[in-house]
Amino acid sequence: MKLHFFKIYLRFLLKNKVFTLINVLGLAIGIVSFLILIKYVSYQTNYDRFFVDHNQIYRINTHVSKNQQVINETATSFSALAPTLRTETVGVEATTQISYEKCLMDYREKEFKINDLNILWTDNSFFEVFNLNLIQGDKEEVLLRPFTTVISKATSKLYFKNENPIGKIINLNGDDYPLEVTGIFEDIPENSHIKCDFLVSKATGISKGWDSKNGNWNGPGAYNRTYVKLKKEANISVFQDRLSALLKQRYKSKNPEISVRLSLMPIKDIHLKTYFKNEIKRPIGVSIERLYFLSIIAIIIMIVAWVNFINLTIGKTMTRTLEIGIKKTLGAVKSSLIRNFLLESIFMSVLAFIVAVLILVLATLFIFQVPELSFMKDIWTSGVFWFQIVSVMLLGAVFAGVYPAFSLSKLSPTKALKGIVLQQNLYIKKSLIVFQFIAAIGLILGTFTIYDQLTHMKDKKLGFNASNKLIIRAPKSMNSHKLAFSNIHAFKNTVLELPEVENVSASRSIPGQQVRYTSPYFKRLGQNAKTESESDYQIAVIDDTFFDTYSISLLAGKNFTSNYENHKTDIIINETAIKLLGFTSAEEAINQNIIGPKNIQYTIIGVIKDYHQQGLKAKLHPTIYRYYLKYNYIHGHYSIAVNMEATEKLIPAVKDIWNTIYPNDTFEYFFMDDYYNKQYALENNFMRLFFTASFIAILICCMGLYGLSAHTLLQRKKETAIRKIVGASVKDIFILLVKEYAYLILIALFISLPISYSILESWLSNYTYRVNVSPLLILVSVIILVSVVLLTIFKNTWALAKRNPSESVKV
Amino acid sequence: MLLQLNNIFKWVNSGGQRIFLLKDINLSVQEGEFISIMGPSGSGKSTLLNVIGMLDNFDEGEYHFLNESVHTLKEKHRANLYKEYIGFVFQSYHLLDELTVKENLEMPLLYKKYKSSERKAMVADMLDRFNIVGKKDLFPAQLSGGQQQLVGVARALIAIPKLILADEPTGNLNSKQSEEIMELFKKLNKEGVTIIQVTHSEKNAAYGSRIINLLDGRKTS
Ligand SMILES: Nc1ncnc2c1ncn2[C@@H]1O[C@H](COP(=O)(O)OP(=O)(O)OP(=O)(O)O)[C@@H](O)[C@H]1O
Ligand SMILES: [Mg+2]
Repeated sequence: MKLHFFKIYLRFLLKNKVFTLINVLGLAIGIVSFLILIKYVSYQTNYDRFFVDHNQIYRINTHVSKNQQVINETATSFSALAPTLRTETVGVEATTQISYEKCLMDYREKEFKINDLNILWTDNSFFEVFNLNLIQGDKEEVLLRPFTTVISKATSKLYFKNENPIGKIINLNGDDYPLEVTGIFEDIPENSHIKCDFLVSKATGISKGWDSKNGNWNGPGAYNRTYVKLKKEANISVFQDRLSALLKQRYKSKNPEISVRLSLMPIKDIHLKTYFKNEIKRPIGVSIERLYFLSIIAIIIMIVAWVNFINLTIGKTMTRTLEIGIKKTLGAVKSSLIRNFLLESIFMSVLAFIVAVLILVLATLFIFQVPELSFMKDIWTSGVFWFQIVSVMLLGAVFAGVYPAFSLSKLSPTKALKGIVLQQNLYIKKSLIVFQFIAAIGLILGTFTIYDQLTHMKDKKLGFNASNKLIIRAPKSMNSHKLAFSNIHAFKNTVLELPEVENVSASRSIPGQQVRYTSPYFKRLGQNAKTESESDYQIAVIDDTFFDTYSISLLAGKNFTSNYENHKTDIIINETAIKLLGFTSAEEAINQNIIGPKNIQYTIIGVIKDYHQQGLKAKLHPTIYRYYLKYNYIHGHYSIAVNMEATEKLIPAVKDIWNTIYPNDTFEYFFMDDYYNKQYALENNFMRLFFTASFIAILICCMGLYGLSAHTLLQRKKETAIRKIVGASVKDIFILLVKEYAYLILIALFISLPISYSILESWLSNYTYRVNVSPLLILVSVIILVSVVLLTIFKNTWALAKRNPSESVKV
Repeated sequence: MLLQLNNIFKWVNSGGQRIFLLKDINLSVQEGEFISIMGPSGSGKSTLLNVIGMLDNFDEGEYHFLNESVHTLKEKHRANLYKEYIGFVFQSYHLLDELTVKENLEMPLLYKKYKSSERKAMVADMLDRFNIVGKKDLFPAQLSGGQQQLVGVARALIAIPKLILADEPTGNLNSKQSEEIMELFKKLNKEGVTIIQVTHSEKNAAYGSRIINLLDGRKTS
């Protein structure tokens, strides 16, 4: 483009500041939002692809069936599987086992400890399967001796700063596990399901007696996960057959009704496709459907931004027909005009690109620091990201440039000089606006519906009382300590003496948590197990005060008493369990016997009303409650019910008691209602993301509409002036101008509502306790759209309607 | 011979009827002529001028310009032809609002292969010749109508055309400004430029050496 033409364009942009600003900003915001969403989606879909040979790595899952009904599908597998595979199966390059635990890691030398770090128990075969570099230490030698650990680079920084960590001791969960650091591994990225801080040698567990070298074939359990790395040339189905053969040969089911199958899952599929229990990292809140949903929104945003850009450009260039006419009479040929238009729209996109980069700089400084957005941190070094941003920009430029370029340069010079506007341009402009409206109405309705669903879940009666509960995590230092059990009573009784405390309970899990112990092996004495059983029974471990503490009501029978010895084989079950066991009423179940795992006979002494242990997204589970806090590791939490609102005030008093009874353990507390609501954090995040995205899309729509209304009206200046001269009032003109948008909105509603409705209904069907897309919300969304549109076009339209006709006609 | 129109017809179809805008126009123009086209409103004056300027097509007949047969040329060639030899002057000036006087003058040169230094010299020369050096950095909106038309004529002339086509060049000007433009045309004509103008004014028509009268798309004299 000759400098001269560029000058015309620059002055044109400066003269039309609002147009330029809207165009550039709209496109920039669109590009940034689109790329953030796409980056998020690709972060999620690239889980575990960090390992170069991820295509060869599989995890072995176990499927347990009872009378051909699947009752347990777990990410864990027999502990003897890996040792057997290692010696017997061809086609396998490497095999490893991983157990996972969250632990308190204490560097006593510096009095530095952090709780809940991610610990994997494994041996050096881990490095044969997962190709991780060791920054210090030798892959052949680390993780062989008991009481040794290899730590991640980040952990090393955290615990040892600039010290050399090799040979230092870190204590795991108290006194019994002093671990010597023998190596440092490079950090595993966040988007890996085995992201962890410490690898601790399996030999440690073997030396302590709770793990064994060769494992057993008893069952998949809840801890041992087996990974295999197949040889490159290995055939999956051949390996699968060998695996089945091996299982048949080694595993003999004690119960003829129970059968077991093993399956292989590529590690790259785990994050998005798992439906297995006992995952190391439970992929909460993401699912392929949600990622689709987000991708759709991302694409809508991008298209809305482009459409805007195109529409504004077409609209604005239509006011430039005179310029085209003049250029043509001066000798401009079609190709030079087309080139000009394209270069202009590329220039506009480059401006948008610069603004987008500025937005990204600001976002990196201020917003991407949030942990939820940490996946954006690497954009500045990511080639893919820059490739995307440039292609998105150029595509937009071409879309926006091509149409006006070809349609306008085709105009004959005489028509152009008369300022004739092509009818076909008007149609295109209108259909693009309709598209914007369609997207806007869908997004508004979507936002409302998601919000509706979330409040519905939060408001629903949970069946227990979550407020005014102080929760303290059980001491970690006392694994199988002989005083563990008596200390529970000591602590409970002392706390109960505080005047504000109404009840204290010790239990393994608390509401809001998944119950980790499950078993399919329950049936009524003298009857065959009900075959329709689809799921395991959850086995919750509680004490005599648990139900009182949480105000969970007993439907029949009685609660446990404080005398533990009397309740060794007593159980309390919930309503769901009653149905599953085939009782017709709660009363009928009382004092009945059922047979549990290892053929132990239990007596049902009470039945409680169902409550929502895991929030409303999850189904109600059949649950069996036992009073069995014999070992400390079964003990998870103390729940303290307080009779006042300001539960925090009690903390110092409780802490004093804690420190006398558990002098070596950190006092960690939280409040039940906060904790329970955390389950919705992901829903909330998703909603916030959706809301922000819709807001941005709608904002871009409005910006475009505003810009468009400004110059559409400019074109009707003469018409309105003449109408007024002939006697139309300001109101008449205003209605005339607004009516056009009303038609467009109407068309958009017809197209958008059915589509949005069915998409939202299908999304809602994922929830057990769900709302419907409410007609009221549809109405509200429509009203909002109409008001937003009116507000957007009001200024320009009103100004035109009120305009003094003499100003317009002489033009 | 500069140009020759033989039996030119131009029509539009409207409601199944053929409406003739130009009917059997025959016209030959010699180099150095100064022709005025007259006729009532709607008689086809602008249409004829646009056909001569090759801005508009015609439906029948032959048009020879210098040694080229215009009716056989493709759009691109026609554009090349008129940008080489023809300058246009319009009733409403049609200057580009975003450009200064100097830049407006430079416009036509950009579509031809002039070097930057040549362009500068030609623009300076034009400014000088029309006595508008002082206005060179002003935008059209900052000029009076007469001054704008002066720039319009200067722009039409700058690429050294053989023919100037002017459609009511003084239509928006007062009588004094009109006279100035007409004097300018007369002077240019003396210097050898062929001029065809459309006008409603007998007085302006009198500047020309020949008058063509149109009525309903037909030449009456
Ligand atoms: N595209 C078109 N379709 C139909 N009729 C047309 C078209 N263009 C011009 N006309 C008609 O052709 C006739 C001649 O138009 P033209 O503009 O040449 O008139 P004119 O002599 O220049 O008039 P004025 O003195 O008012 O400028 C008019 O009757 C006009 O209505
Ligand atoms: Mg005319």
